[in-house]
Amino acid sequence: MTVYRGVPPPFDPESTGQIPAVRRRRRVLRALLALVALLVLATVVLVEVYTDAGFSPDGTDPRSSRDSSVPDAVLDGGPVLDFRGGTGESGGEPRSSAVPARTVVLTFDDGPDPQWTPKILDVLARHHVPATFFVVGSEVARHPELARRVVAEGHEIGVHTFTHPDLASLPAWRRDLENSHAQLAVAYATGRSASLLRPPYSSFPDALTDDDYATVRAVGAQGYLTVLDDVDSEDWRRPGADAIVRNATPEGGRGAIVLFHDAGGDRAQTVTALDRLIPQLQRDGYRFTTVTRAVGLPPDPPAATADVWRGRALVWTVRGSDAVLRLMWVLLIVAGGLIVVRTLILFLFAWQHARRRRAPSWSWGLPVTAPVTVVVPAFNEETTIAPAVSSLARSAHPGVKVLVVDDASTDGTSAAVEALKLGNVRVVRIPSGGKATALNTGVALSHDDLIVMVDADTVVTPDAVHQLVQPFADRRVGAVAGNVKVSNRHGLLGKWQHIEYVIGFNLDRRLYDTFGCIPTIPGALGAFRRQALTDAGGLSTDTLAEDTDLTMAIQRNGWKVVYQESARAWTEAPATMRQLWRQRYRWSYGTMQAMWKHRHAVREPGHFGRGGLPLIAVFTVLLPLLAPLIDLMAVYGLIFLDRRTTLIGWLAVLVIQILTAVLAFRLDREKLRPLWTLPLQQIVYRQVMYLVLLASALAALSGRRLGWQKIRRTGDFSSAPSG
Amino acid sequence: MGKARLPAEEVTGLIRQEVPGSQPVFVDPSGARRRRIRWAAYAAGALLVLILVAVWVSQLSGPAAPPARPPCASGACTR
Repeated sequence: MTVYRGVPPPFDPESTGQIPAVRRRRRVLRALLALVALLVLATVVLVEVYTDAGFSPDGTDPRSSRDSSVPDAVLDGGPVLDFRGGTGESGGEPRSSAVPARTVVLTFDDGPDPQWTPKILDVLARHHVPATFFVVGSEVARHPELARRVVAEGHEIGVHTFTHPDLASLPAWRRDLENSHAQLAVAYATGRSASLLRPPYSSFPDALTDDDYATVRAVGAQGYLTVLDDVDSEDWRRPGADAIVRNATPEGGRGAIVLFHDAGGDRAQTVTALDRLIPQLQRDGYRFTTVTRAVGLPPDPPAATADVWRGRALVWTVRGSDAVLRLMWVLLIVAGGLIVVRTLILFLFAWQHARRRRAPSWSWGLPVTAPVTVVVPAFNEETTIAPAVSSLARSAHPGVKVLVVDDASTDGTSAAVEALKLGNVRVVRIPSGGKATALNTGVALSHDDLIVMVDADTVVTPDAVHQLVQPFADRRVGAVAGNVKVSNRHGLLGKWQHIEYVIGFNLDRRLYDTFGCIPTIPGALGAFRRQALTDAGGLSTDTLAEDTDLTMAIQRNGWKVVYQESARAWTEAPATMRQLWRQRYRWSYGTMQAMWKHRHAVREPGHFGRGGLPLIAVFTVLLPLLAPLIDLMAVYGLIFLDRRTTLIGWLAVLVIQILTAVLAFRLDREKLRPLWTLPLQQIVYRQVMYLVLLASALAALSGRRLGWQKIRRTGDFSSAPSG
Repeated sequence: MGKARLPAEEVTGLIRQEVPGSQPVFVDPSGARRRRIRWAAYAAGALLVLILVAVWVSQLSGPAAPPARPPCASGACTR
């Protein structure tokens, strides 16, 4: 609709932005910035997926249980495997160590966990026993203070990889990455290196398969001591504290490495069981110690400074990525909540509005029959002006006059109007000045108290003008918005805009009407009381959305602005993506300008400033700016999270939109057929709409001057009623 | 009476209207705001590049090894 041309931005000799070489360089730099942003996002996603074990195969896949390559000495030996005895690439001969008799090593896997690790530490402290914690590196990165506490209280830390994958099914480089990152996280958190490693999904030495053994050999060659276990408390099954105590008690006074878990779910049973097991074993003459002390090794030395720094980088990367992702989730939830709230109030108030208006008792007051001047600003509208003006001139309202203000057109616009030879139509030609000036001129040249403004590409129904001015029966009404529809609905773009217009005019505008805060009287069809225009100071050239600006100014002056859905007009919508982009760029920019210009209304008394302006800001700028998150998180969820849940969430949003559209179409008695394009709208149109908003927000921020653009007219009024 | 034509019935040719020379909202004619934002964006971009390089290099520059220690063969280990 309101697309018009005005003066091009003046040449600014101070600006370097017009030198071709500078422009080129800036374009390259902009592209580089976008690339950096993309790389940061990719890193965040990669880190998140990695730390959440998205790349880690778990040990539940059936594997070969062959153990023909595992030496018998290992299968029958103790749980601590040391390959550092010899030299060479594959390490030396395996040497198994066991725990001496009447000695227990408590080991806890999968932590640290913010809920259960402190409780377990408390129990251990109460009984003064040391233990060994095999920590998962990504958890250490998220809770370094817990790892620090573990070491500070005299316990030992071994690594349990970074993300708990089944090491045997990983390629060597990934396995090394897992162990290295776990090592770094421990180095940063505790300042110590770790020589103990427990592979995830491991158990007793005699359960080692060929694949497991190959892994154990390989990490052994790198210098790790592999720590398996003798006794499994099976606390992960949560069999009850009694069973855990029973499972964890070594038989016949033998020494044992006992496996517990301090993370991965509710560990209350483990805590209770430990509180009973430890005194019981102590009574039986058991000694508690750590793995290294049990096998007679010195404790782990402090970590190298380089490793501490690399660990710091790792921990901060994980934290940063977590924060970014958390922020995105929070914003997504806010957006989702706003969408739901918006849909609900739209449904409720639009429905009520329609019912009120359709009730037989509804009336604006006495019929308004005062003469009306229709002002039509035109710039190069040769193709569309004739149908527009003739439909207006034939309006069924007493004393309708049409005043075409030709804003220095270079085509046959004036001639096309004059060729109609209609008695109540006048043409004035003015020097080029822009749409606002053209409208102000038209208003100045008319005598009537009621003025209707219609775009030159808009065709109205015969009773539209009459219907439009009926609300002026109420003395407080200063302006009336009409119901504008898309006339060229061929092709996807036309249908998408048609849907958008129907929703915008039948739900949003009814809602705003109910709250008394209509943000825009469309340039395509609106009526004004002369006094309201005078109070507002006419149309201003401060903003690119002079219609929004004027509407807000009128309301700030205390006039009521209402919506009259029975006054219908058909306007030509942009037919190509490029034109649509330009139109929306101008609308978004202009709306933001108008809202900023009238921002002080928030502190003024009255409906508009107190309630309307914030509402408009949230629903027309804030919510659409959050829309990209829905797509971003949908893609993220579809690739890396639960596909079903993501799809259901995305479809829920679509269903909400379809329901909204159906209601809007029903309220306006439109055919539902074009709604089949709604699912497709999610893939192209939506993205263009928020990118345009983003681009214009950036332009507003940087203070760029935007010129008006003219869209190419085709004169396609196929969906408008003929006449 | 009725001799002179009303102004509204006059054939209108050109009308010059004084356009108030107010500055459009948001527009910064000096370009200073734009320049400042541009440099802030470049600085943020450069910082992010540094951080990215630091992260990737620090995490992928060779595996961190466990501490080197005397092997069990020295008799430290007990069986």
